[in-house]
Amino acid sequence: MKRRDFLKLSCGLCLSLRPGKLCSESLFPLNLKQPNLSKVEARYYEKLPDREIKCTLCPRYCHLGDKERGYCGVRENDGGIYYTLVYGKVCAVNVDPIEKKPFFHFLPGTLAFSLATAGCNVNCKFCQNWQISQVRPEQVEAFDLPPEAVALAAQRNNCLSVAYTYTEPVIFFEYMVDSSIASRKRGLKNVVVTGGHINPEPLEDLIKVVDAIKVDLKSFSEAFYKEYVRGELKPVLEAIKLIHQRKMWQEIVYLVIPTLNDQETMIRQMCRWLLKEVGPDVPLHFSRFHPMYLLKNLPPTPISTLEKLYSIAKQEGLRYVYIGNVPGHKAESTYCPFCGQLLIERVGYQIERIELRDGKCRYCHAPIPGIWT
Amino acid sequence: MSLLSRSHSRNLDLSQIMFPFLLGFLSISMQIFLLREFLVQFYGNEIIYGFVLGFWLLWGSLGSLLASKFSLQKKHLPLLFEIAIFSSLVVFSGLRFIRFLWGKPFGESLGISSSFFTALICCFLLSFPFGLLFFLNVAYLKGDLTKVYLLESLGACLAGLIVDLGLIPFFTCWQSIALLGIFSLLLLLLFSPNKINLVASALISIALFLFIIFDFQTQKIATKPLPLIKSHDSPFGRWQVVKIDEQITLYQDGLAAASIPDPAEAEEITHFALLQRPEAKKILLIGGGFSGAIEEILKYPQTSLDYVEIDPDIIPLLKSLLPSEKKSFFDSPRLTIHHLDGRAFLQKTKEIFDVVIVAIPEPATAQLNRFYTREFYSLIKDRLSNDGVVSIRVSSAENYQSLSLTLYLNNIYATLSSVFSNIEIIPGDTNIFLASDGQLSINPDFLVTNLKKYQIETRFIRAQTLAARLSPLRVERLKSKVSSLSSSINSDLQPKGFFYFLIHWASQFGLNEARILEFFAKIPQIFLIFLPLLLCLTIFFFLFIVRGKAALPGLPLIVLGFTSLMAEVLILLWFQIRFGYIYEKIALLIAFFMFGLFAGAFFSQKFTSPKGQSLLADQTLILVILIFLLILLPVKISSFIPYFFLFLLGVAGGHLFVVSNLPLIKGGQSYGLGYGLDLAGSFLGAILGSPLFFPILGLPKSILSLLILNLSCLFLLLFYRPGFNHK
Repeated sequence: MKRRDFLKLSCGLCLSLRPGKLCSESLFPLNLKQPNLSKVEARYYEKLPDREIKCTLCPRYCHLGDKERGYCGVRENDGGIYYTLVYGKVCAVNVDPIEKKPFFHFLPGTLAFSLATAGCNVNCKFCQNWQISQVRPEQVEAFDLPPEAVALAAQRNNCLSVAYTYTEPVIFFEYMVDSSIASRKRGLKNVVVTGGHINPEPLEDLIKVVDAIKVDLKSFSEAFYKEYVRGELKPVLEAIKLIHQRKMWQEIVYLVIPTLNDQETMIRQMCRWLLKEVGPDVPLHFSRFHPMYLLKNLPPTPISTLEKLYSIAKQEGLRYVYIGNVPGHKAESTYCPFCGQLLIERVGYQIERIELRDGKCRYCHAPIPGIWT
Repeated sequence: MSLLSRSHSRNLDLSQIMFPFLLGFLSISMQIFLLREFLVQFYGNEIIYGFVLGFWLLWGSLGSLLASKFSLQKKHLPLLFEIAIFSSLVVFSGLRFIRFLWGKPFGESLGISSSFFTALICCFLLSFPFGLLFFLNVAYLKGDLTKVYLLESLGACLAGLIVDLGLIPFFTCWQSIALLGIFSLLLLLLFSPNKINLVASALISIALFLFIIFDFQTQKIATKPLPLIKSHDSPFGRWQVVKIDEQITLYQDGLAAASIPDPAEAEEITHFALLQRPEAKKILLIGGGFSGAIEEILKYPQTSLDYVEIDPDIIPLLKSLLPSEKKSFFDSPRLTIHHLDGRAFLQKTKEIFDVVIVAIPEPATAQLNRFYTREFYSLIKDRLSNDGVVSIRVSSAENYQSLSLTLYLNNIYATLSSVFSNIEIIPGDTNIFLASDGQLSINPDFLVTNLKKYQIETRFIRAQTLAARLSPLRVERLKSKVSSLSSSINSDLQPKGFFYFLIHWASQFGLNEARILEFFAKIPQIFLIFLPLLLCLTIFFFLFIVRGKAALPGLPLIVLGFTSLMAEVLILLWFQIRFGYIYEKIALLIAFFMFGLFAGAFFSQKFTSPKGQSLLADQTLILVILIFLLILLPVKISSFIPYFFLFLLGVAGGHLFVVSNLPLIKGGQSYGLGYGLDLAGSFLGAILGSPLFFPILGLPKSILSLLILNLSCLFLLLFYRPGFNHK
């Protein structure tokens, strides 16, 4: 390198540092806009002396002083009145196939307008949506979507239903109920994807305005719920029973996590319980786990494990058992439990063919439970 | 002539050489293995490296500073060595079962706070005794600090070479620890003039043998309930294999790398890119071949595949595990495997590729960040046909992209956009970035048509799943979100990408952790540039309060510690950017630095000015090194230059260390004070350097920061040459 080049390079480098810019330059140019929070009074709580309240929406029964928030992080006691902060404040909206929820016995092959707000009343260590479920509403970008707008948007996107999903919809209960009423007026159906942590009274009210509920049964062990969900199994089972008693269409999803909740004896017990309390017609989906969030280091579920559990559920007498997240697997499709014929052929989220006539098997005319039209 | 008494050096017996040598040898080798073991149990990112290295230096510093407070005597030297070896047993067995101590199941990520406290405790148990040992060694040699430092540097230099070239390629971590321990005990037994506690030595030796025998069994216990069937330590990390039913899962350094069979993963890595150019003839796959990607690529009948995999041990390991129909793909005549760093391969090859698939882990470290920079993408572009396609896969979120995730994705998008004219992003829990100067389409119909036309059989990438994944709403929203921010380009010299990844990574453990990183990212750069100076002056200020003017010689030592650690990492990174990560050469680079320290300390015996000019000369030399480094950073250089810089930096550091220590020792102060201050400076360098300074300031401004620090120190020395001109 010549001396002249050396000097040029040195000057160039000094100038490239742009000293004036140093004072202002920052690596983090973004800030969240002003928090977009609602202040709509919650519908399930008890007023207590000294401006305290007790939330009665979910089995946590949060006992809160003034200015305190519930466990879910989206409900706040302000001066003895309990408010929901996420009414109409949506952070995730998508148009998904209903099979993605998954609902297999509910308007197959249609689209669901899917939405969520921030927050959750449990802390699953394998949450797929932890970026919105495990945060407070101030920490996400939310936009306004009032109940009437939900119904309109769903129609505009050719959806036959609105799905309350992604996070735990129980925490935006008031918004879900009002949106369901608005959607129903426009001829839309409403489906709820929940972990089932809800008290009987609000659940009864919810059942009046929605058309189907999918419950994520995360395990059949209290210890698992305590360790990996930070919740309880018992209220979930109570919710499943109540949904069935009120004749609401219900499907159960069981995410199979290798070594944590895939014990064959436990699955057998669970199937027996479902058979006894909900009957043989409740669809049960064994979903393949994909490493997520804090459990990123576990392997995905081997397909053979899912097949073993599928066989157990069938042996125990459940009629509609499915394997999920394995596109092209034959256990993705619906078969007539009486004549064994293929009734709904699914690959991934797509319907290949439907052999149902008025909700009955085309071949043996046996009624197939579900909401088909 | 040395200012220190020469009478001691003439009467050196073997024990006087052995003790300091063993100290350097043991401490560096334990440090290397601690970092490797930590990597397996926690995450291999710069924050964790910062914790381990930082606490190592901090405890070493405190050990050395506080040694005088303990009533240690020379006869305790062998005992302290025994304690250090015993501590290593405790630390490495504790680390293996660390998840039990934190009450976490295998597979669950341990959070930032648990890694912080684990590093704190482990480093205390290992590094604190080494700090005490430095003090005792100087006392043992009656204050001949030069000799101790010299021999310690030599021990460290040899340890680096022996561990990297003699132990790691052939033995597991536990086996290496056991061998090191047995070797050290033997040395003590043979050469120690003081009586060795034979019972303790025998018990430790038995425990060390148990380490060798029960290595795999303990790993099996630690991975329970997952059934571990194999473990293999390669120079590039630990491979563990778990088998459930027919499925095997490979863990690399404790992180799940791939499951086989897992067609979802393999198809996702390959087909989105290949379906853009289904008639492509030359494909390059960088990393990720063990996931089944090779099998997927070879489904395209006309392709020939070059697979670049840095670790030569992985293919034989996989072949020993896979059924014959799966392992036959590795013997396909259409496949050529290159065991090389991805960047080094691209620099070397003259081939032109139609599709390049990058399946490298995410940019968790500055080292990995090299695969996400503008320069790397330019390198790919040079080796890509005119309308060739490159594909990069990163973690994401399907339904909502948080602020930190958006910044991370935006950085990748902006960097790719600075090199390629067309970018498409596949939404989902992982995002695939496709980039090309030719046409790209992620329309499901287009992809499905190509699948059918070329009769590619897939299970997950198919019409029935693509329609939902690539719904226009998801595709457009993700693209507009990711491309809406002002461009923030990741480059070799301004490696911002890994900082965005770290913020995103930290946010899963709670937003407070992420906020700390965000805080540093938001503060003006000018403050960060002067931060090292402020911190060094703060330490010095406290020292000044305690010791008055006698503390003045300590300042160059703090500055030296900070500068040498930062500059060493910087030069290593620079080398990797220019020449790729080459395992043996990295070991050699570190050895050059250590040898420089040794040479510097050695020269100090011959060239030390009584007027203190040597101190000024050293400080000037460091400044000159930094200036040249700043100038040469963006220039194409000969591979010899980084070696030379590291050696020179070592010489200046080694010489300055001894010269600055002279007034401290002459002044009758603690033998360990100088060593402690040097390590305290290094501690600051470790926690600030690679996790914060490199990504936020970039390499040139980090050097500028070091220049300001050293220039200030030089000015101070010009006015006051501590201990020399004031007698």
